[in-house]
Amino acid sequence: MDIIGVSRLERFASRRKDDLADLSALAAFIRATGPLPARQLAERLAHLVVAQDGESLELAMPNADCCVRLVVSRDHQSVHVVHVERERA
Amino acid sequence: MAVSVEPIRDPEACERALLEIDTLLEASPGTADADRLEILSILVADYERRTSELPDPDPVAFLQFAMAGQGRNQTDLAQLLGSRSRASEVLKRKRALSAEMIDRIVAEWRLPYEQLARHYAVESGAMRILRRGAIATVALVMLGASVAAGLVSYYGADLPSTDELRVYASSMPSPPADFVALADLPPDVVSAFLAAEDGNYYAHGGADPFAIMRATFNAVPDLLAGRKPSSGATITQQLAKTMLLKDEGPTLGRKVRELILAGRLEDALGKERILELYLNASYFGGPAYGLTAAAWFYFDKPADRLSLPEAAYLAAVLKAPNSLRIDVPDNIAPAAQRRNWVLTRMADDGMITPVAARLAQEAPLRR
Repeated sequence: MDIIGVSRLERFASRRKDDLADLSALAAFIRATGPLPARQLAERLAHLVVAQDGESLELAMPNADCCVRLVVSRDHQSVHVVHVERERA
Repeated sequence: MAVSVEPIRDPEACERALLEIDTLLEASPGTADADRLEILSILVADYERRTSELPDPDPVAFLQFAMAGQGRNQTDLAQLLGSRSRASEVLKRKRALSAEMIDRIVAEWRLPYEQLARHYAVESGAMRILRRGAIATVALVMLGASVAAGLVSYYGADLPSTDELRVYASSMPSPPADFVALADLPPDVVSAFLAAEDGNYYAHGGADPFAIMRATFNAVPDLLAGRKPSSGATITQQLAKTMLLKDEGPTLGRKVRELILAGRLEDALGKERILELYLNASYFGGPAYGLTAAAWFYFDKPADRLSLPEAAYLAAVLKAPNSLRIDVPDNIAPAAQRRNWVLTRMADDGMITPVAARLAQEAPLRR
């Protein structure tokens, strides 16, 4: 799967070492996954899923202390990184 | 219908495209919006492939992320790999993932092979030993420093301070009848004592760690050979013992006090004065206390007229004053041996020439 918006992950990850490890792992995980609907991607990362709405997924990163909102394209060929933000306490 | 798009050449253009993509995500296939979304996605993906520096994670970071995503922990990994220690070492980067481990993880947990098979740094056994050695060394140094500080505090509390010792810059506790100034002595006399007692005198600060270590290592062989073990004491330490600790027996406490005082004497008096006091306070056997008395007792002359062999003998006699005094006939042979050793040391240290040493060694102990 292509990942669109990896520059958003990159900008966020540059802030902390833990962010970098987690977000680069997320990007690598998505790239290594074949075309999948959001539901199946969510199953592969079930313990990180905070919310799912159609093809939109919100994931809590285990070490980066942040949330990433993703949308899987309708043809399931790419994943868009819509937003990355620090988790609220 | 034609779709108008701008090329993406910089981060700002990329961000603008991403914002537009966000609004087009729900576009229905076959619509103009869907076409635009597809074109923008291709442009952004291409730009990000060329410019994004988000590195691939190392296999352990990737494994930890995937385990967290799948709700697995170290125990699950231990079960998969068949060993708790193996799982722990892998996650701590002390052991590399083997091909067999990667195959199991890929097969059982459906993780991508290429992310786990990448080369990454692990702490080698040698590095681990080196790191532990460094930690142990630091701990030992800190422990040693604490013990030393404790000993100084305990044994040094009632000793005279550096300021109090400055009084000996112009006096001494039990001055000999005939005090001789260092400046009046021939260089060979001073050199003989330095060679015999403290070759590093002008280099140390009161104590000579190398001499102490040497004495420690040689103690057992000396005892086994029936010799009196060397103390490794410097001239400054000997002066501290002679002048200020003469009533104390040979205990560890006295040794510590001697070391403390040696440092303080160096600060208070300086090398020349310490050497001067040492020569005038030392015991040379029989009734001879101080160098002047010894010169008169053994050679019937003042200290400033001692010859090289005579100076070497007086430096030699300090080691065992009553066993090496040459007014006792049985002592002549060991005294000559010790004197000749002092002369050899002087030649070895460059204080005199080998020829001068040989001539002095051939001289009789007493005329």
